[in-house]
Amino acid sequence: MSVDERDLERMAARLGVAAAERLDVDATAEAVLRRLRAERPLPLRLIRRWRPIVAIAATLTVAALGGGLIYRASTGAEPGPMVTVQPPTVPSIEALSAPQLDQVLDSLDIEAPAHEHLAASIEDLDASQLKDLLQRMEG
Amino acid sequence: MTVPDADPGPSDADLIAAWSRGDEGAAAVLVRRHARALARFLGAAGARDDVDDLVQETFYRAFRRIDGFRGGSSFRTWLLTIGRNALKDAKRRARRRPVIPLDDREVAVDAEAPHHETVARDAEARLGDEVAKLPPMQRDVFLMRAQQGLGYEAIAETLETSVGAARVHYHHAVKRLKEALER
Repeated sequence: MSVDERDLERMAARLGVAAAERLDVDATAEAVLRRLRAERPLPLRLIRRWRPIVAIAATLTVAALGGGLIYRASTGAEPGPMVTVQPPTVPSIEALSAPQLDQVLDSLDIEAPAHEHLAASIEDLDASQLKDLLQRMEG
Repeated sequence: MTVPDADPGPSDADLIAAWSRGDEGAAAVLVRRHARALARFLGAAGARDDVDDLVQETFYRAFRRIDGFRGGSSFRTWLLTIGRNALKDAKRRARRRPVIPLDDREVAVDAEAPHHETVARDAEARLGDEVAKLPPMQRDVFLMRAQQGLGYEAIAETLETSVGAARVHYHHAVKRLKEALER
């Protein structure tokens, strides 16, 4: 069989025709749009409607920030002092004095368990006994 | 007296701009306008049963990154580029999973068809097989020129190669196909 370039082009033009004819273009278009809709967080119409409002809000924000900077530059006002916030420090039980230990126990508002060796109230305990008690309560 | 052509409707550029503004109808028109040409290209380039899926995937990718379409080439050549990549991805995925090959190429057999038509269909089926065997670059250049009717400049731009290289690929493809069909 003798084939020239024109024959090839003519035959090539028909390649894939069956696949193209089987294609349901309307269903394809609908499927593509469905996938795109599912991916979009907001409908474009909604974005379009809100776009001017967002633009105005952004403009006002920029204007306010710019105005503040210009005001500061013109008045020579310095920014306020930096405040460093330290995290609260918690002393260990060992470092507490007897009155401080009493305060801690009072603030806990608990009934002190009966001491094994002394059938006394919390007020009767000395510093080492209070420390011992608190450490036991801490587990 | 010349009869004016029927209104071809809005241009691709107008439809793309409308889609960018959120007009879904414009996207649907673009799909209807180009889907069959894309399906023919993909079908000839080696897609089998998944042509529908690949066409859908191609348009989905195209519309998602429509801002990347600079308008230097036509929308159709841009689609062919995306479709080519989608086909490559599909083939890569298919290689990773075992398949039982089925020779289900559809060649319409019509007992009533004249002999020359049957011969022509057989030749087309053989051409399809031989095109599928070409190196990818030769195959795509051949299909873009012979099937899609694109010029060398558009082909070179689509395939990111030079016009000279596109001509050489086409020449080699034609030579190989002629030899295969004359065997």
